[in-house]
This record gives sequence, C-alpha cells and structure tokens, in this order.
Amino acid sequence: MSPAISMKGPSRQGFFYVSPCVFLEDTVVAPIAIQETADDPKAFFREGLQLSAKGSVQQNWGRIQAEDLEQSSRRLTPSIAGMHSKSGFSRGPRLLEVFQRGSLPASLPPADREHVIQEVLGGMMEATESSLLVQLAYELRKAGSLPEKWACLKSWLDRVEGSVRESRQCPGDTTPKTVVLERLEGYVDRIEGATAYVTLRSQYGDELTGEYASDELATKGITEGRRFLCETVEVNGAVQVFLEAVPEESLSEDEEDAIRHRIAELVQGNEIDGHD
Amino acid sequence: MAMTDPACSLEMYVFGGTQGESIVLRLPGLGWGVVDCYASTVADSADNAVLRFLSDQGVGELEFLCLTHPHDDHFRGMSQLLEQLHVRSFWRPSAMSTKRLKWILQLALVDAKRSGYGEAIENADELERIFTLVKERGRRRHEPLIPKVAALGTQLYPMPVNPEAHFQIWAIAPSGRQTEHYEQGIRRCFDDNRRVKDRLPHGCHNEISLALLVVFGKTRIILGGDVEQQSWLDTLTEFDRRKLSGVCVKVSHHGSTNGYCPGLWEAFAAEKMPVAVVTPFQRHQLPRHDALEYISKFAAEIVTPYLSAICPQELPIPLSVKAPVASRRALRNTFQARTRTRQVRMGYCHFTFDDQGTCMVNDLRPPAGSVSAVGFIFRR
Repeated sequence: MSPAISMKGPSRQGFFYVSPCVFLEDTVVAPIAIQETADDPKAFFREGLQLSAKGSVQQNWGRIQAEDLEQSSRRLTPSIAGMHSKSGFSRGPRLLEVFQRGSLPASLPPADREHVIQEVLGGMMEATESSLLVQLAYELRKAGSLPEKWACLKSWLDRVEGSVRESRQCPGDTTPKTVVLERLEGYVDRIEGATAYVTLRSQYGDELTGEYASDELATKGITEGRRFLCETVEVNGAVQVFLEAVPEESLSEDEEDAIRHRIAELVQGNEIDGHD
Repeated sequence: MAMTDPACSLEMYVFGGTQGESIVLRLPGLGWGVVDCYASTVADSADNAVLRFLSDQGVGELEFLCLTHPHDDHFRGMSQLLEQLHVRSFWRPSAMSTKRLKWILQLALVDAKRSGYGEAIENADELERIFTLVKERGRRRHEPLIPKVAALGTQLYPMPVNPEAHFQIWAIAPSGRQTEHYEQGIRRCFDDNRRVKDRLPHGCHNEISLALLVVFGKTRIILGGDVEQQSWLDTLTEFDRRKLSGVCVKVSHHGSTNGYCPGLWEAFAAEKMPVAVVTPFQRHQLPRHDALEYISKFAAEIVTPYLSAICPQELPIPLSVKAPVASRRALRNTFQARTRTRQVRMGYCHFTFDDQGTCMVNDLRPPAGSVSAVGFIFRR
C-alpha cells in the first residue's frame, strides 16, 4: 500500500516543506515528504503521521512541538531551517551530504540515532533545492537498492517526483518551466592549468569525457579528484547545464589509521626496496 | 648482421589505445622486459593486451618489469603480470622507495576513498596490490624478485651492472631535484599526525617519471615515460647529451606540449632523425597537434598504435539510445563531450633494431576491430 500524500498547487512562497527522512529501524531510507507550502503547515505533519497510522511505513517523527509547527509556517532561511539545534539531521550538513552522495539507505551512528528519535525532524527547503530530493528519489529507484518490503515507498517517491515536476509546469505559473533532461555523475580526472578534464556518467549508463574551465569549477567548489552532479535542464525551451559539487565521503580517523597501519606493514623491511 | 636473428636483434612493441601505454622489449639475449602496463579491467586478465601478447609468444618469465610512475594509465593491470609471470626484477623511480612509498600509497588510498569514485578506488587498490605482490615475490625462496629503485644516472640492466655490456638500460630521469620537489609536495599533504589533509595534484606524479635509455651496441632508444619539461631540463644538464641521440624515441607524456624542453629533440636527433612513437591519451586530448608539429621537425616519422584516437575530427554529438538529443548536444557544447569506451582496445607498433643503429618499423597493428589500419601520423 502506498502512503497517501497530497500535493498542493504551486507554492506562493516558493518553499517546500521537507521532512528529511523515513526511518526503518535504524536506517535512513529517504526523505519522507516533499510538499509545497501548505495553507496549514500542521496538515503536512498530520499527513506525515498518517503514514504511520496506515502502517505502511514505520516512521519516527518524535515529538512535534506546537512552537516548531508555528516556526514552520514562517518563511525560513536555510540557516535556521533546522528545527532543533540538537538534530544533526534536520536540514543539517550531514544529511545533505547523505542526500548528495545518493548513498541511502545508510546506517545511523548510535549518537545520531538518539537525536533523531528524540527531536523534531520537520523543516523547510527552498524550492530550488527540491531537485536534490528529486535526485534522491531517482537514485534510490535507479540503484534498485530498496528491498521489496519498501516497494510502497518506491512508488510513493515516484509520485512525489512526478508531482514536483508537474507543479513546476502548472498553467498560469509565472515561474520558468523546467524539465530535467538528464542527470550525470561527474568526476574531475585532472586539472591542467585552466582546463579541467572530466568524466561524466549518465543516468542511462554510458560515459562521456570532456573538459571545462577549471576556475569556473572552482567557484562551485568542484576540484580535482572530486565528484559533482551535472544536470541538463530545459528552461523555457533552452537547455542549460547545471553543476553542483558532491561533498567528500567522510573517512573516520580510525579508518585512515587502519589504512596507514596496513601500508606500514606492507613497506616494512627491505623486500620492496632493493638497492636504494 | 641479420635483423631476423632474434639473438642479435632487439625488438620493441609499443602498446597503446585511446589511453594507457605499455612497452614490451624482447632483449637480444632472448629475454623479455616490460615497461608499464595498462588494462581497462583489472578484474579480468583476459582484457590485458600485454599479458595476452606475452602469452601468445610463450613468455612465462620477464627479466624486468618497470613502473615509470604511479599513474593508472601506466600501472593498471600490472598486478596481473606479477601474478602470472615470473618477474626477475621490478624497477621503479627512487621517489617510490620504501620511505616515500608509504606516503604515496596512503595518500592514494585515502584520497580515492574520500572521492567516493569507483574508478579512483580501483586504481588505488591496484597500486597497493602491485606492491603487495612485489613484496610477496621478493620473499620467494627460489629466485626471489629483485626490486630496484632508479633515478637519473642509474644503470638498471644488466644485473650486476656493467657499463661495458653490449646491451644496457639506464635511467635518464628523474633528477634528484625533481624527486625532492615531489617528496616535499607529498609531505605537505599530511598533518602532524600523519593523516591526509590535502590531495596531491594528479600531474605531480609526472615529476618523478622514469625515462629509460636502452643501449644496444650503437643503437640507442629513448623511452620517455611521462617525463615533463623541468625533468628533461635536468637531464640535459646532468647527463651526457651525446648519449641521448637515438634511433627511436617513445614520446613522453603522450605528446603533450610540456613533454619536452628546448634542446631536447635537438639532442635526440643529433646523429640522425629518430622514429618517434606516440601513445594517445584521448581523455586528456593528447597528443596535442602543436607538439606533433614540433616533433615532426626532428623526427624521421611519427607513428602511433592507435591512429583513430588522435585524428582531428569534428566532435559528433555523443548520442545514447535513451538520452534526449538536446541534452547530449548541450553536453557536447559545454564540455566538448565525447563518448568514453571503458573497454580500451590496444594496438601496437612493432620495431626491430640491430646493434648498428638501424631501426625498422615492422608492423603497425591497430586495436582488434579498429578500422585504423595505418599508424603513421607523419612521414618525411
């Protein structure tokens, strides 16, 4: 059974509500909802709660404080969009990182789990950032990494993505009509002076190589040896290319120490040094 | 001297495709050596063109295996050679001696994992695998592998060294200065706790690329690795220029404009115009036409194992069955995007040399299935 989420008309304020995650046991599965500004923000949360009531997705909203809901109805800036300072996942950089890596489902460290369960997870997201969630929905489906028991979520994500796209093209809407044509994962192989040599892997499975101005990439935080997202978007009939840096994967000190010790063991002695 | 007598001739096979390079030498004494290796798939040795070639020749043993520098287009698949062949000696630049190697490997592995990019992780793992195998083979009881590190002026072959030998191989790059500069760059990438805080620019590994001088009587061959301008300047300063004049030159750094310095090709061509061999690196748009034009002033001819990879062409739209054409057109216009084929097919240029300075281009074999039947870029 698919959870029911109704999508409203185009946003007057250009904001989307988003609650970052669905939790299945200890695993972050997906952003739970993306919805354009509702007349009544509480309705959004009520709908979220209904997911649980219908039993199709076990989710954990934690406590929803009345004042938090009031907060949600305001036009929030990204910097205060996290609804609780203790919640590392409420529009926090780490969650964004998880989104951008497209590496969900991901296990939560126990410390984070504690916060997530205890704190409110609602928030708001700028309309322009909603594409990130659409991307996530796409990644989840493409990877086919959702187990069968989460099929309902898959179908729901499909509908969320469709609704978002529809809302972008609503008649009478003065905002530009945009259609994402293709999404690619980019990687900067090498920077040589003003030129960056890149590899692009399309959502359709083929690979391209090319080059780009290295200083322009640098202004977007995209450097050598790093990944980026690339989207070709049709905006009012013209195709534009958008690039966005993918944050580095985190590597804990323990993981790095393990590599260092492994290498130290490999190079100890003189078996691989020979006649220096 | 009969060029066909394998005991009295030297043969060289320069492998290349859209990317990657490997050089196979059949030594005058009938032994074999390999300089660098490239296979597009590290998981399946059937994809390793050099291994397949050696197997077809019935080769089970290498006199030496040389890694010029730690770039994946020069080492991918090298672990397969170490696994499947009996390698007597393994050569690498002195900048990769033990004390520096641990930094280089840690940096490669950590940086690859942070990037989250599958191919980078695969390459870093392959580099670690190579040195794991070198260590394992070095511990063999029977004929253990002998590792050697080299820099400008090191005689690598024969072993034990003999400057009077009829067949010799010398390192003519990198210089001590380049090695030191590289080491400083590596150290800057680490914090006080020896954790990686920064990445080393990809191009820096070329600073320590080995270049080899192969001497067979009066015949001299230069294998340029990915040596760049600054390193060549040091070679011209520190090495006897007269010994650099060769009958054949494997052009360094895939025909990049920074793969030579003033005076270098003059030295190569001091006695007679050599045959130049270029291995393309299509992803980085190499070779450059400016470089080929420059080299053509000094070379008798320029050949390549894969002509299609460097033919000037107007870029087609890199179409895909599923991708919207409008998207692909935008990608071509924005990135000059071209389709990348993961499965790199390699061709080779085959040369035979006598010991009197004669070079004969025997065979230009394009990659299997390629329509590029001719490998001459330029002929005088």
